[in-house]
Amino acid sequence: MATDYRGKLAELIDELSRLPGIGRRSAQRLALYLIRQPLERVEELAAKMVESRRHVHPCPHCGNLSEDECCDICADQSRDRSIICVVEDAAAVISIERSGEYGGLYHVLGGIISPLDGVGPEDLTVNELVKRAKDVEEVIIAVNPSVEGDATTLYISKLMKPLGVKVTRLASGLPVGGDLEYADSVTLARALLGRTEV
Amino acid sequence: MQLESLYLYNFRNLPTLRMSPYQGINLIIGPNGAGKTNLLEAIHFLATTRSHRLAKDRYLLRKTEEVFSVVGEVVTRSGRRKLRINYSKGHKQAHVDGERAVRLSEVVGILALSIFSPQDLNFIRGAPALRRRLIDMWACQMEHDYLEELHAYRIALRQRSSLLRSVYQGQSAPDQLEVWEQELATHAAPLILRRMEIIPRLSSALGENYALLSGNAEEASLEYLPSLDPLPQSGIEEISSTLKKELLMRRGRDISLGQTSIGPHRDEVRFLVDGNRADLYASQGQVRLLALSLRLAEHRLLEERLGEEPLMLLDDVDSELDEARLSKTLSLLPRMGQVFITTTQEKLSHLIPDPKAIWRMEAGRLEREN
Ligand SMILES: [Zn+2]
Repeated sequence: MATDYRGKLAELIDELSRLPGIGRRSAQRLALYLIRQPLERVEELAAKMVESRRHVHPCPHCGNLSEDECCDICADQSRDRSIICVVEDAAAVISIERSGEYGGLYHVLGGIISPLDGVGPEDLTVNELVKRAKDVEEVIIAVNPSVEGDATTLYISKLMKPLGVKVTRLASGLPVGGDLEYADSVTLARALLGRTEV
Repeated sequence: MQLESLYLYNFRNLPTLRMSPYQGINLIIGPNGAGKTNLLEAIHFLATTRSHRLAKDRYLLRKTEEVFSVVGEVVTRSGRRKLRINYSKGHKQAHVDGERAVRLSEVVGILALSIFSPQDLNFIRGAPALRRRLIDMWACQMEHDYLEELHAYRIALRQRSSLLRSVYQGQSAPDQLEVWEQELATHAAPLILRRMEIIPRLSSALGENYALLSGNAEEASLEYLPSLDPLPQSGIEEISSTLKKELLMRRGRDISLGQTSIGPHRDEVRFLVDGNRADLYASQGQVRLLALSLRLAEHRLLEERLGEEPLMLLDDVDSELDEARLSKTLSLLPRMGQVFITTTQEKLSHLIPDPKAIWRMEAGRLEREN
């Protein structure tokens, strides 16, 4: 009697379970769902994955996701180029854009400092930020409110100090340990407006 | 504060149990294994959503069952509240007045209590970490921000340790430690400050109760020994900046140790009897009296904060005390509001003035004596 999946199906389950947030059981459910779908649908899905992987890349200026040479935000000449908002990932860019309260540029760090996860400043786009910050008036640090987020904010603000740029952070009010991604637009707008100097 | 009714379903060895507790002292008599401690544990669970024995929730579930419930009606100064906590498939759900609570923390503290159990003796004799935990649990009850700061402090501590090891192995630059030292100092300062406030208050209440129970034979106190020594007395900013400097000074040593050698996680709290350390020198009798005095002190400070008497739960207290001290303890109870005492010994019933308050428990069944 078979006690586990074998062959191609087992390989698919293995692959799926490596995706973030997908456990073994979800991977099995997804795999069983996929093999019951019409072949064209699965081919289309596979093609979508390949295409996005091929065409979507980090913007060379800010690290935001982009399909063109540079991202929509960097390309938009109407945006305020004297201010940069530093965020953890591209999802945070979407959240802040949705709040409608921000018209400057972004800088995506690609994570936050966390020695426990083996992430140090050298793993983030910190050096690129230092280069960009020389040409702006204000840097807003908008990482998620957590101990690691605070440490990252401290680290960046120390790097910014000698550049003479104004460094601010979001006003408190966002739930600690919460994610900017899940903060509602009103809360986020308020946090942006009430930002304080570090 | 009164617990007016209690209903348990599948809690430990109790398939169902209904109780309408008496307003003053409730004496619960029964043999070992009858379920007396489980009954007190259920009341503690209703108050805090946790076992006082630190048992995991699944161990509170009756064997072969899948759900358990603890339900109670509480009358406090601010009114009557119905509390219910259900456990099912590894999850707890709380209800207050019939409405689902979004967070478990919404029910915590509506019913306030102090509980003495024989395990409390470990706080006196055991490792310093146990006493720190006692103070932490206590401070969390008194101050809402304490738990948040403690949580943040522990995260910063783990992050710094991890980075210390990475620096030791030459994988990270030592100056990256600075932000974690800053984070540690920021979250440590409020913890230290709260401990500085709370421990002396607890100490004087402990001393008074100990004097009463021991017939003024000895003096007991609680002493706070912060690892940051000398400790600046001028407030949170200075504690924080002094600790940060100290962390920087110890950085080299901490790198080779692979851990942080100073901070609230290294603070000591000591019980003293006549100035001598209780963890080293106290007799078994003194240890018992300290543990009991501590809970009576806790009860008093809780009462001061709430403006009403919390419940007092005493598990198997007579097995820990001799006759004279037991009757002194019992003489203190009428002033403590609603009390629950468990015992295996019939003789305690003679010391309780009102027979309506006597309950008998056997094999998970509870009956009021008539
Ligand atoms: Zn861009």
